[in-house]
Amino acid sequence: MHGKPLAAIVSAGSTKYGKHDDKGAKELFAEAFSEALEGAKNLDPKRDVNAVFIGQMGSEYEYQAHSGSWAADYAGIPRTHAARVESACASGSTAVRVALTGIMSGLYDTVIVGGVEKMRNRGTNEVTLYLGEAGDFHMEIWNGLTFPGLFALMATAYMNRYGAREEDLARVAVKNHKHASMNPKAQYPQEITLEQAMSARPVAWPLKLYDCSPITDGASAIIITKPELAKKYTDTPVYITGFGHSTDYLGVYERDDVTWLEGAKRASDAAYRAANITVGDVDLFEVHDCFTIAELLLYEALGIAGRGEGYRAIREGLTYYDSKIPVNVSGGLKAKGHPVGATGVGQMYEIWLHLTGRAGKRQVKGAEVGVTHNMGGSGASHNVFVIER
Amino acid sequence: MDEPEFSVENFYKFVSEGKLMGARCRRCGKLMVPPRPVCPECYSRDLEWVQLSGRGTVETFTIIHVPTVLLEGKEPYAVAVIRLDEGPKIPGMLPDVASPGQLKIGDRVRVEFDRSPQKVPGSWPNWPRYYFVKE
Repeated sequence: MHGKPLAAIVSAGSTKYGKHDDKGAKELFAEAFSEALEGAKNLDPKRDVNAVFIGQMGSEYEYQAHSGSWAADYAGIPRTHAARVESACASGSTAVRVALTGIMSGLYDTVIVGGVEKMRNRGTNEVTLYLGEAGDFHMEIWNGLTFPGLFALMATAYMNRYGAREEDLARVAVKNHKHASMNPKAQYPQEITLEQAMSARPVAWPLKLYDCSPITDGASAIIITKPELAKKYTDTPVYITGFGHSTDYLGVYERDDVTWLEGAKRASDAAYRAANITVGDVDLFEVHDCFTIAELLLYEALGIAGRGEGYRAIREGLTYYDSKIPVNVSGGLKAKGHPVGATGVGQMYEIWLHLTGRAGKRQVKGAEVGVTHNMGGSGASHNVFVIER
Repeated sequence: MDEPEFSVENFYKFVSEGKLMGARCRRCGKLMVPPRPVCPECYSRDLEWVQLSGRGTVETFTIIHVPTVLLEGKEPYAVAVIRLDEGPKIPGMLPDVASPGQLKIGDRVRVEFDRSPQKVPGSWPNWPRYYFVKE
């Protein structure tokens, strides 16, 4: 390990991401939590767990807020410390951050962290409105923008400045669908061709259907504890050794340079520094590819590629699971699915699978250091974690 | 100093009068579009409303094909980030632009106002929209 352990992930679980007509957020969380609990030997939540935090962006979908309380109840500990944590699409990782700081402060020993979103019960245009709440509603959404539209603004400027092409965006989708084909929990495990991605209908030009992450139901959960307690609950703990966070202007229009995610740069710098690593030490990344352009911008912000050179990394195929710098081996938000509040926790579940050798066909061989990057809105908040075994 | 409150609500009230307005900080000169009640640079609350020319340059844009429920049926339309001549940037629709070939980064645009009644009277938000056309 490069860094000092801040907390240990002793187990993790996740539902399949996709369409769950007969389950709501409560049942989805319970399923993910139950899987995580099965992997934590000797852990009795009623005795050992001090708090439950759950990331969830929207209560509009189900008219059910106050999720901290029901999540604690569904975890069998109705009278504990609990809260729902909301930071738009970064809600899940923000819940992890709340749990982590609670452990680091000495307040908690062991915490259950969930992430959940139930979205498929609403129509596309309605979901588009709800997701738009993560941007600047008064100026951006009211004036015709959508979530894909906000990222399309970045894509248009990026292609214009650096000479990237729509094909480069499509290549990200092709890669992530290839990865998802090896992930039994992915929403869209079908491989796609470049031609398919390029000829798909436009959503927000230059972004087409395959440039966008889907609307997804799902939940993920992790159990984290103080480093010195980890071995009590598992023989294969992994450790959070660094984290970083930064907000940014809420509106894309407010930022000086729409081709650059400054918040992601700051969050990743802080996380790498805390864990005493450089980008070259990382064996795999799970990053927030809500849209294909986001993955390219994140290559640059996280130091995987130089500024203005992210599209070259995908052209050269450097970020496939069996290549130099594996990115989104799970399939990413793009193909694994993006149940908004679950995503940040699901990324940690994926890293946990690889670091403990449980990732099956897509296993990154010998993985020791993983990094997650979870983004809120159109880049107005970012959480980066370094996880090591 | 009888200025209307520096709120988004009043920003759109001015739009209904055919005016694009911002708030200027009298202490440090910062221009805020939309307005805010407190200057984020120097924290002054000594502000004034100023009318903007409504002219600017396209910094980036997209063509929306899947709108929110608010604008269902209006697609396809463009939305751009406009750098106003006074400095601040704002997003704005270009309802007449339906394909990427009709607009490019660097194009000059000017503001217009859609004061037609909104879809759902009595509901919030029920603001009129400003929009842009190519000069």
